[in-house]
Parts: sequence; structure tokens; C-alpha cells
Amino acid sequence: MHASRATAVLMSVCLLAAAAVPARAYLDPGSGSMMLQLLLAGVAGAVVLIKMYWHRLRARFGIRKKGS
Amino acid sequence: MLPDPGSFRDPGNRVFYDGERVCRGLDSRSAADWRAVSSRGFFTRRMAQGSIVRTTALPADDPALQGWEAALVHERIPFLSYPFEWSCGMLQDAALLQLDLLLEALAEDVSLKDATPYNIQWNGPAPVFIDIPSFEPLRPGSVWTGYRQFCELFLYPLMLQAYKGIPFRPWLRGAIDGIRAADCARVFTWADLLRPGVLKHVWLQSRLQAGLADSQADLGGEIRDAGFHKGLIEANLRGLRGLVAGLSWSPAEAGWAAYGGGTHYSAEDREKKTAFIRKALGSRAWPLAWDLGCNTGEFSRLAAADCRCVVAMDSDASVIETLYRSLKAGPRLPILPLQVDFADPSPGLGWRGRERRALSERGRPDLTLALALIHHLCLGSNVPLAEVLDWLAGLGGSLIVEFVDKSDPMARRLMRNKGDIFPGYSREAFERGLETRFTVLDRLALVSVDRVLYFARPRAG
Repeated sequence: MHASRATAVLMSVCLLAAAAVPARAYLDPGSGSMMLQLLLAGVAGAVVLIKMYWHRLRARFGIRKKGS
Repeated sequence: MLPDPGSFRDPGNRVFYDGERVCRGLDSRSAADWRAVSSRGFFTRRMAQGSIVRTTALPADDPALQGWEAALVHERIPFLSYPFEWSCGMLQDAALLQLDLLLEALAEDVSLKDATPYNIQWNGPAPVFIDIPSFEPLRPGSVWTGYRQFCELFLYPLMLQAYKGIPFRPWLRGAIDGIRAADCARVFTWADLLRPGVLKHVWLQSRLQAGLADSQADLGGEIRDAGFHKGLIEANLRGLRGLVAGLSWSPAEAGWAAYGGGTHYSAEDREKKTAFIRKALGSRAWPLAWDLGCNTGEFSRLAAADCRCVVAMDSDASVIETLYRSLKAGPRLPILPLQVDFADPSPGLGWRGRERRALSERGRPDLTLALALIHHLCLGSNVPLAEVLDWLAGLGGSLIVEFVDKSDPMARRLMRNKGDIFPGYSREAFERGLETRFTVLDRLALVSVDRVLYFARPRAG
């Protein structure tokens, strides 16, 4: 039960992250390691994760952020 | 001006040597970072303490600038070393320094762009952070870029040692970028997931890396836009700090560690040996000394009084760990303990085999101590006696060497399962070979054991 829920969360985190464009750093921080930093941060990280989902959802429906 | 072949990964700066000066050229972005960071409180405090290498900016008209926007000059580290030569405690302390520096930097809105032990060197038993351009002003909303690297080069090696008893040195020597999460995860069992940090930092990270390997997303940008802030990095850092500090291991009972106790020397011979070495050491100043087969470090400590730096090397991991702990606990001495197998010393590694330098290319010793070492190489590793002498002569410095005859109990122990297959190993052959390559200045035959000490300097030309 717990294992399947954990897998589902992992899968959705991976799906969320699968779309386009890079940042500027000489060292590749690794996509998986960046996402893990949200999961390691407890509730505060989960809030950021939910916001990411929300932004992604809005973008899918063509709703842009104010000022962008 | 000689560029350092190992300093290229961050294109924004490069180390080069201007005679004795260790300089670092900075491009415009790195120069701006230096100006922004170098006056911060944590930076000046840590530099004054010596845990960040002492560094000053070169004047704008210094010829060493050579087209760089700015250049720095660093205090010279006495002898470079790499994590695959360190004891566990050394890697642990280097990891803690890395985490503490980042925590202190974040409090002043500065970040570190990487997290590699190759950015840390040693002044005696004290770790020193050397890569100044790693510090950059914090970009609001950015994640910790060095997290994965910290895991691969600090955390996983320490976990493998602490949880599984697997030495990290061969692995780090074979993988310059460290241990990948997926490889580390394969070593741990399901039961290991209950150990601190394994589930989060190893298993979960390996799964996420596999799941996102083909991701094209600008994750950093999305995370920033979703409100990521430095408090989340600080929480992770505090957790990692507790995890790293809590990892422990005890040095195994070292086979040769009792060696230094002097149980097989008579008290009189031990005194004579110490006096002989003290006299040789006192004959002049020795900027750099190597103590090969240092064991408890008794003679490294003796040499430290006359040397600017003593590199105390031994192939026994527990010996080096014990020595490091005692040096750390005692008064500061210029002794750097390193684990080195002399029959297989660190080679050049990385890009073109020059990114990490071979042991012999990091500074030749002015004096080599090889006390009770040669029988290990000849009788233990089967290296021909003449080749051992060639190697010692090739180091270029003077030599304090102890020859152990085959009849010595320790030599017999090395041959117990091989039998005497070493007809070329004898005191006569040793003396002949030594006198061909060196001028022997002094010698002392011990009475209670079949051992002879020699003090020799290299023959001119």
C-alpha cells in the first residue's frame, strides 16, 4: 500500500519534470537530485512541489503568470 | 606562467603557477563574484582561521594577469593530496567543512557552486578550502547545485565505509567523479534502507535520477518560480551535517600497528635508533620530508621539528586513521597523514592522466625516511631490491633508511607462506646498491634485532 503510494508520488514527480530549457552552471546538478531537494525539505518542499504542479497545469491551459 | 592541468572544469577561472606563486585568473563574472564575496564576514573570518586558503588579489598591473579580468594569489599548500589517499576521518572532516562553509555562506546570501573534496587540501591535519571561485552570490530561488556531487564524492564513500565496511579509496581512485547513486544503491540491502540517510539520499535519489534521465524540463527555473528559497537548502544541509557527523567506524586492529610499540627492540636499541635519526634530522633544514611506512608517526613527529611539512604515508588504513586522530587531538604539527600503497602509489588520473597528479609529481622530498619499509616491498610485494633503491634514489632527496634482515621476526612473518624465494635480498646486496646510488654519511647496526640504519645523501649527478 505504502510502497505503491510512494511509487505513484515518484512517477508523478518524474512526469511533472518531463518538459523543456536549461539553467547556467558549470556543474550539472542532475534533474533527479534537484527534485529530491524538494522531497527532502518536508512540508515546505511539498508546497513548492504543489506550486510547480499548479504552474504546469495553468501553462497547459494557456494561462500565463501575471506580468509574464 | 604554467597552467595547472587539473584546473579547467569551471571555465570562469584557472589556476596557474608564476614561479613559486600559486595564482588564479578570473573572468569578468568570477571577478565580480570575488568582489562580492571576499568582504563578507564569514569569508574573512574563515580565512583568518585558515579554513579558507589565504588569498589576496593581484594588482591590476601585475604581469601575471595575462588577459584575465582579475587574478588572485593563494598561499601555497605544502603538499597536495586527494580523497582516495585520506583516512575516513579526514574525508568526514572535509565533508563537515564543506557543509559548514555553505551554511555560513548562505546566512550571508552566498552559495557554493560545487561540493567536491578536490576543493579541500590540508595544512597538517587541518582541512583548508582552496577553490575561492566556488563562492558566488546566491541566486534567489536556486537549488543547491552541488548536492548530487556532495553525495557522490563525500556522503556515499563515508556511508559505504560506515555501514558496509567497504573502503572508499579504491572506488574513488577509480572514479574521479565519485560513486553514482545507482551504484551505491545496489550495494545496500532492503534492511539498509532503515539506516540514516540511505532511503532518502541513496535509494530515492537513484530512482529519481533514473526517472528523470531523459527530462528536457528547465527544472531549476520551475522550482525557482514555485517559490524555492534558501531555507530549504539550509534544512537539507543541517540534516546532512547531522548524518555525516553521526557516521562512525573504528580503525581495525592494525597488523603492523603494534610495530611502533618497540616490543622487539631492546630499550637501548630504541634509544640509539631515535638518537641516530634525531642527529641526521638536525644536520640541516628539510623543507619537505616523506615518512614512508610511518606507522604510529613516531618519527614523523620527530622530523616535524626540522621540516616545513612531513608527509606521513602508510599502506595501512587504520594506521593512518589513528595517526590523523592523534594529530587532530594534539598540538598542531605540520604532518599530513596519507594512505599510500608504495607498491601501487597514486598514478596520474582524469583528463589526459594529468587532472590529478601522480604522487611523485606533487613535490619531491628533500628527505625520505624509509624505516623498516624495504622488507615489506621486497619480501611482501616481491619488488626487486635494486628497483626499490632506484625508486628511493629517484625521489632525489637524502635518505634515512633501515634495512631489516631476513632473520628478523617481522621479515620471517612476511615469508612464512612463501618460503625464502629472495636470494637477492641481503644486507651485502643492499649496502652495495645503496653505495652505488648514495653517499652513506652515517650508519648504525642495532644489537637486539637484525637491522641497520643508514643516513645517506644522493650522489651528485
